[in-house]
Formats: sequence, C-alpha cells, structure tokens
Amino acid sequence: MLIKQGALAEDRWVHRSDDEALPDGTPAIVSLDRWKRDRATLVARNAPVGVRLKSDQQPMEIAADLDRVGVVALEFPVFKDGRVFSYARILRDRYGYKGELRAFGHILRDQYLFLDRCGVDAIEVRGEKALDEWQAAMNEFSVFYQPASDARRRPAVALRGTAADDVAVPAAEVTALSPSRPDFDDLAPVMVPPPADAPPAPSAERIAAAEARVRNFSGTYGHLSAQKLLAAMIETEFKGRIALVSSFGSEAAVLLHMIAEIDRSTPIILLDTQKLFGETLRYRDVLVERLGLTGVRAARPDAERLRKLDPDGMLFSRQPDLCCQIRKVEPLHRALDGFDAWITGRKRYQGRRRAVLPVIEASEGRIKVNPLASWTKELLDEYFVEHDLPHHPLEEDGFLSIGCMPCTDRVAPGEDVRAGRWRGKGKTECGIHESPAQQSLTSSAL
Amino acid sequence: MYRYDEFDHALVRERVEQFRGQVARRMTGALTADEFRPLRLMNGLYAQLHAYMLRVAIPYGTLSSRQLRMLGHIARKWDRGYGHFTTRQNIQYNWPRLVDTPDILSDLASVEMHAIQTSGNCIRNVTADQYAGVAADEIVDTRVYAEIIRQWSTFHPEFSFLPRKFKIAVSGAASDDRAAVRFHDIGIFVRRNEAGDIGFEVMAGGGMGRTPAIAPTLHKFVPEPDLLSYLEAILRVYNLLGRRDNLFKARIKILVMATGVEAFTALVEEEWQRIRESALKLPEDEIARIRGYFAPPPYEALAGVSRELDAQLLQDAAFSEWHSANVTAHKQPGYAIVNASLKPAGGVPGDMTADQMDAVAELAERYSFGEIRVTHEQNLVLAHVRKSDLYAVWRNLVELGLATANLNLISDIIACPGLDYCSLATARSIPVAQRISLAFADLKRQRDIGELRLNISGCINACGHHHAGNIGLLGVDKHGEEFYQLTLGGHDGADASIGVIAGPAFGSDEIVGAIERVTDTYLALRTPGERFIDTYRRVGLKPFKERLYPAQQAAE
Amino acid sequence: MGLQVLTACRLIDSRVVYLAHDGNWSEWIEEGETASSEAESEALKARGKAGEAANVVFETYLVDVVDDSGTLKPVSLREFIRANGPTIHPNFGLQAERRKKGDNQAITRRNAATARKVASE
Repeated sequence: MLIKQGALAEDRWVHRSDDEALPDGTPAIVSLDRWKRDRATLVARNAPVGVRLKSDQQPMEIAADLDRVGVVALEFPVFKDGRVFSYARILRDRYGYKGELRAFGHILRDQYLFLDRCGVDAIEVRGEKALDEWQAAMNEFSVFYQPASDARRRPAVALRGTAADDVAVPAAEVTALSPSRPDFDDLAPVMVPPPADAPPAPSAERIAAAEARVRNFSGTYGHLSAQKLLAAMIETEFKGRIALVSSFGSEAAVLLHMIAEIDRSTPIILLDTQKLFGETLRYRDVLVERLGLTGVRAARPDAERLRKLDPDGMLFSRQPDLCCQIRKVEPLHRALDGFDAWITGRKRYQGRRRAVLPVIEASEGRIKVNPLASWTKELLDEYFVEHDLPHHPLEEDGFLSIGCMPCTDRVAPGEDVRAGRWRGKGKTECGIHESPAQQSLTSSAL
Repeated sequence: MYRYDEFDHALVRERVEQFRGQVARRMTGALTADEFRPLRLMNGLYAQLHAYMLRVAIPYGTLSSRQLRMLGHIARKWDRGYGHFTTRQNIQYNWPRLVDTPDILSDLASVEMHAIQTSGNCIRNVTADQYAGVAADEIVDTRVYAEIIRQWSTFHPEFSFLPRKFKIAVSGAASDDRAAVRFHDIGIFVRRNEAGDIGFEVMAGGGMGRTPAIAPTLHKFVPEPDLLSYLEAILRVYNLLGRRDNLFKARIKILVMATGVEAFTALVEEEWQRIRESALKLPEDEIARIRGYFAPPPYEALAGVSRELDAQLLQDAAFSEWHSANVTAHKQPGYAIVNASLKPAGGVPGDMTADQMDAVAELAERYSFGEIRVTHEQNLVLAHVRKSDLYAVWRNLVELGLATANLNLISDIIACPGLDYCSLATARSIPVAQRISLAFADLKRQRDIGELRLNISGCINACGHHHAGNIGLLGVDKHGEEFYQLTLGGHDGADASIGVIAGPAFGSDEIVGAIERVTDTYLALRTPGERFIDTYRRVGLKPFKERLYPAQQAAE
Repeated sequence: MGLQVLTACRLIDSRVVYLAHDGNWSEWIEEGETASSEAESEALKARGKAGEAANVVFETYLVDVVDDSGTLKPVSLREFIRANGPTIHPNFGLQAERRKKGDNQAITRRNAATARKVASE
C-alpha cells in the first residue's frame, strides 16, 4: 500500500531486483548498484526509472542524477535506523530534489510525521495496518518547534513572531548596550522628564468642563444598562470622538462584543507595550476576526524612549513604574489625542483601588466611561456563554488578570483577581488609570 | 522561569494523548515489545528490575514550587511516596504502572512538565549550571540558550532515531564548570567576545560510559544567531556517520575519535556553511522573548552584609558550619544561594519523599521567589535567599533532614540506582554509598578532608559519573560477587580529567576501608590548603597505590 | 542440571512474575513451577512465549534457583533482588509483603503448588 501525503495512492511503480527484467513501459525502481551499472540503458528506457537506496548508501551517490530519476526510495532495514531522516533532508534541502521521495521497509506509524517533516512524501507500508491509523499519526501534533523540510508547517517560533508584529529594540543596540546583568544601582529612583512630543497637559478650563459634563451625565445616563450606555456614548454623545482602550485580556471580549454590535468601526486602542504575552496578540487577532472589528490600532512605546531608558528590555525588573510609564502611560496619552472620551473595562470587583469606581468619570479633561463598573465575575461569565465568546488562552492556565508577560503571574485560588499583576513589586496599577496626583503616590520616579 | 504559551501547552498535551494511544496499542498487541520499547523510552519509561521507571524531565534543572508540589503529588498518588533526582537534573519514579503513565503525564502537563526525550536514542533533556542567573562568576545566563535548545531538540524530526543517546549541557560561568559540559556529547560554554557579543564555545564527543572521553572544542565562538544551525550540523554529521552496528561504539565520542577532531570539525563546518543561512537562524526577537522569562526576580535593594546573619553565625556553630559548606555567593547584594543536601549520612543519594518535596516547595515560596533548582550532583538549590533569612531556612531544612553540611565533601556522593533498581546494573551502588557516608558521618572529619567528590556507578554505563569522581567506584560482578573498581583523579570542573584505575577491584566488605586508606594517604601528603584533586595531580597514583595494595607492592 | 523457574515482567506494571503451575503468572517465586531437565525448561519457555503473545508478560527467561529448605531461592544476586525488592528499601517490594504474610504462608503456598504438580503427574 502506498500512502502519499496522508492519502491512499495508486502505486505506478514496481520494485525490481538487480537481475530481474524491467517490465516494458512500466515505471520501475531499481537499486543504486543497478543504476550505476546500467545507467545508460536505464536512462534511455521507455518508462521512468526510480532508484532505491539502502540505509548505508548516502544520497550524495545519486545527487548528480536526480533530474533523471522519477523517484528516490529510501529503505528502512529496521525502524531504528534513523539515517533515512537525514537522507531525506539532504535530498530536499541540499540538492533541491522536487520529485517523489518515498520510504519503505520497517516503518512505524509513529515515524510517519517525522518522515513527512523531513521531506518524505510517500511511504510504502505493509497492508495490515489500516489507512486511518497512518492518517491519525500524521495529525497527532499541531505544534512544531523547529524548522525542517516541510514548508507547509510553520514552526512555533515563526507563529509567535507573526502575532508579535515587531520587536522591542533593534538587535544591534541590545548587544551593544546591555550589560550581562542589570545594574542594580539603578534601583534608586531616577528623575525622568516627559518626552518632548508629549501632548500638553489639559488646561484648567478643559478639566473643569469635563467635570461639569460628568455631573450632568450621571443624571441622564447613570441608570442605563452597559449596552445602552455604550450606544448613547458612541452614537450620540461622542460620535467619532470616543475610543475603547482594551487590554484584550481575560474579560475584554465582553466590551468588544457590545461595541461591535453598536459600531464595528469604533476606534479600539490596544496598548502594545511590546512586552505583552504572545497569547494576547494572537487572541486579539482571533477577536478582530470573529467580531469583525475594523478600528483596532496598537499604541506602542516611543522607540527613542525605549532606546534611552530601556536599552536591554529589562527595565521592568529594575523600575517597574518607569517601565509602565514609557510603555503604557505615555503611548496612551499620545493615542488619546483627538478623543474627548474613552471607554475602559474596569470593574469594581477587581480589587481595592477599583472598589468605588464610578460608571462615568472625568479624567484629565476627558470623560472616562466604565460601562461594566458594576458587573460581577458571574455576569461576565454569563455573557461569555450567552454570546459564545472565545476565552483568552491564558485563562485556563490560571491567569485571571493579564497584563505584560514579565509582570503577570498566575493567581492562586482565593486570591484577588489582580494578585498576579506586578507580584512582589509592591504595585497594583500601571498608571494609565491614575491622575497625576495619584501617580505621584505610587511613582516617586516621575 | 520559562512559562508555556499555548504552543508549548498544545505540544505537551498532544504528546500525552499520543502516548496514551501508544500504551493502548501495546496493551492490545498492535505494538510488539520491540516496537514499543523505543517509543516508551523516548517518553522516559523504562522497564527496570522491579517495575516500570518513569523519568521526568526537569529542563536545565529548574522547578517552580507549583511543579515541585506536583512531583510530590505524583509520588504519593501514582508511586510509593518518593522520587529520585538524577545526575541529569531529572527525577525518576520507580513504581508506576504502564496503564497509569498517561494520567501521570497528564498531571505533569498541567504544570508545564513532561517526560519527553528523557531516554531513547534522541537528544536528551538539556542540562545546565544550577546557579544560572545567580552565580557571582557568571558571564551569561545559560537558561536562555538551554530553553532555545530544549525547544529545537523536542521532537526534532531528523534526530529522533540517532545511533545512540545524545546529551547536551550548557555552562556560562567565567572559570568554573558546574554542568560537567566536557563530559557531554555536546558541551557548550556561553561566552562574550571583546566586542561584547554573545557566542558559544562548542565541544563535542565527551562522555562517560565504557569509553570515557573529554570533549574537544570544535569551535571557539559560534555567533549567537547561529547556535541552532551549528548544533544541527553536528547532529547531522553524527546521524549520517555514527556507527549503528555496535551499540558500544555508537556514541558520537567514538565517531570523533575515529574521524579525528580536525576532520570531524571540518565535516561539521562544511555542513554548517550549507545550512547557516536558513530558518534556523535565531531571530533576535525570539532570543529577547525568551530572555524576558529569565529576568531576575524582584529583589529588594539590600546591603551586601547582613548584621543579623553575622550575629547568628557567631551564635550557632552548627549553622555556621552549614553556612560555610552549603551556602554560595549570589550576585545580588544581600542574597545567597542555598544548597539543600539530599545526602544525609546513611541515606539514598538523591532520594526525596513527597512530604519533603511539599515542604521545600513551601520554603521556596516563602524565601526564594518560588523557585528550586536540581543539581547534577543530585542536590537541590534555593537560588535567591535573603541573607537575613538564611537562619530560618536552615532551621527548616534541619527539620526536613535536608541540612547535612556536606556539599562537595566526601559524603556528597553521586550514585546511580545500581542493582537495587536498574536492569543494566552489575552491582549495587546505593548500599555502598550508604556505608561510606556512615563511615565518614563525622562532619568534622569530612571538613578536614575538604573538597572531595566521590562517585559510584553500578555498571560500566557510568550513570554515577565514576570516571569524573576524584574517587570513583565502579561496581562489577565477579563470579556472582559484587566487587568495586576504584579510580582516582577524575574531575568534572573546567579542568576536567578522567579517573585512573588504581588496581584490582575490592570486595564489597573491603571497599570502605580502601577509601579510608585513600583519604589517609591524601591527608599525609597534602600541603596546607591543597584539595584532594590537586594533591593527586601533584603526587600521582603511586603513593595511593602503595597504600591500597601493600602486598602487591611488596611482591614487586 | 539444577532447578529453574521461568520469570517475566508483567505488561501492565512490569512487576516481576513467575510462571506458576496453574499457568498463571505469580508474584511469588515460591509458586513458580520448577524445571529440572532441559525438556522441562524448554516447555516452560514455550509457555512463556505464549504469555508474551497474549500480551500478558514480556521478557520471559529462565532463572536458576535452589531449593532452600522448602522455598525457592534464586542463585544470582540480581534475581534475588528481583524476587525480593530493593535491598535498600525493606519496606518496598515483596520482602515486605512476605514478612507481613509470614514466611510460613509462602512456604505453604509453595508446598501446595508442588502438591498440585505431583498430583497432575
């Protein structure tokens, strides 16, 4: 039985030993010895010829003739003889052989996937094993760590790279600047001035106006459900001047879904700190696709700031507050430029500092809308079920609140949902939801 | 620590299900014993003397408290309440049932662990310096590269049916080598050149076994992005040319010896140049991503000296003795590295009960950022303990029986499981280790002897690293009796050497006395402050031989 | 030739077993059926192969034993350890169970097996 790329295939070829006559007009596979001996006759034959290699015959021996043979067949005298795997890769990668490469002999179904990855595209198997067994073997894995000779399977490193979009710091600078270990003298607070292009601080008038507006809103909208509140804000009150800031974390799908129902083009800002979990970026891609969101954009840290303040990408371990400042707070301020209001996904149940969260608040001259402020974990879970929303892949792994990879830990049963954020760093908020006055309490560095 | 993302999780879960299928096929006979053997071995499952043995990978010896607790849970639920840490930083369970192993693996997968490639003729679990990331003498944190190698080697489609097993070790210290890298099929020293770039000195062809060899250097400085293409080139040359006709000549060391280092290096170089510019090139963002996982934990800014500790050292002599033997310098001021000894006098080297595992997991959480390391000497490490917490940690370890102050002393014995468990062994190792550690139980005597590594293997396969022991013992079977061949002068540091056989093997009841004659000889000959290995290297085998075999010497 | 029993590893858990007179695989060497001639040994081996084919056991082979006042004792240290458990863990393996049950019971079992064998001949 011949299996070609996972499917049963008709075998046009016959094997012939060294002293058997070749059947007229039928493609035949001969030994390397016979090929060498009768090369001229075989090339001139009226049907294609294939060559089979014993496991101690290296493919280099047939390299020069690869464009004259119709199939290369590699023999497993016993399944443990793993030379065949290297032979296949050499034929494919070194010699660029494009024709059929088949393996025969003592092959275990558990080797089929490996063979396929090494460029073997057909196997001759003894009939007693059912085809579906071999097919199942081919599909036992969906993840591959290393590149091999099968272009159709992308190694994990490539998949991880796709979603990550781009990298924190150019390679050359990392090596040039990074000490082999962080200089812990840096732990002392450092004065860091804001970036030159930072949006100007809001005027006193603007701050007052926003606060006045919030007082009016509370009466008008305070009683609305999350969905109705969002609709009023997005379609009426701030049409074209409101954005959602989403972490694409474990609960983000709820707001994203509500907003997609209202207007799929609503601007949605992801603070891509370039330290996010790959899972988060891939989850974003899943949600964008699923909900048809068209307004998602990433706010990234300023390259110049990173180069100066976080050359080795390890600032998070030395000065987490400063790291949040340049990777989250500053990019958010830039991204909100031009918006009068923004929507957040914060909830009261998430912990002490959020326990008194209002639904609508004024913040630095803008309106902040927190439609889910009063939602409980149970309500959120119900919403996920009701709308069949996909979960963040890290959730089932014990991550309940998901921020940047280096500063997010699992949460033990019974712990506060945000207990895994900045664990051990004496910090519970990144600073994007703090007014400058509050920030000065948490970050003496700024 | 490295943390699985959804790709890592998926791969390990898929492996559990694949193995579940393989076990089912074996139970129905769809797989023969011969066909199943390499498949189960590739998942760390041996058939030992009394039962199956499951070897679980602890990549480069790093464990979280969560993982150590799970190891304890498995010991309790599926085994007999204990586990055995090995010389390759792994853990072995001695009593699992075949039909339970898929469920054990499933439990392991829930904490990002597995048994992938802990045996079989494939690239084994990569090992590294147990002090990676914390040692004061470190140039580069090896865990980043060990993890990159772990991923590359896991289910490598081309190198899963090699001529023989293949072991890789990585070390990143400036002058020391705590991973015995020169005794590995591939050894790697992570280096930094004058320009500050990271690169790798790559050695190949080291090993223990019946033909011990110290790996020669193939390349002085493989640039960082080329690590995997260089390794792949070595593996390909080995897979193509390594001997498959003779089990005892199948390791890469034999190929390197037979080909000659220069010719072998040239073959690797030729293949490397062909594949160097390929998808194997390490993207900088991937290195950065993985480096992010191994960032230092949130240390407190502490003074380098702890007055509290200084006072405790003065007050408590036993603590002070433990401190000088088992505590090592940390690169972060105010912190120290603690070694928990799994070598109590009369104990089984490397064995640990489930209760001890739980307790150490708890200790690590309280005092060491929830992280534990396993050493190739079969001890455990709490890598980041505040100096002011050392006394508390010590008292806890004393209660757990893990505070024997014998690190690198004669009773810190490396021993394989030997004939008590192993189907390959020719003699027992553990009872000999127990008798030796009891004979030298007096810590004052051990301290007086000073640094001395004693390693015991129960057969020629040398899992107990006897070739690399300052004193090595090899158990042999002579007409049904256990005998022990004694070697001297082995060493597994940066200046590695292979021990030399002292003379005829000793009977089981003579062996402890023979070792005492060796230490007595050393004590008589050493110059002040001189370690055993240095004395041996200075005076040679002869004086030891004279004391070990007086009758024979007299006859000559 | 001396006495031999046929041993194997049980597939499900790789525990040491011996082919008993009743055709079952026993954890107790005392229950092992003995062979005292080459023909008998060959017969044991053949029955062992059947056990392998039935996926009950694997790695069947003959073990030299001596009759030590009514109980069977393997000649080699390796087989002694296989039959009794690790020498360093007296609490694990059959030695512990044997102690628990009492050697007498084991001997009784062995005698019963011998009696059955004699009866069947």
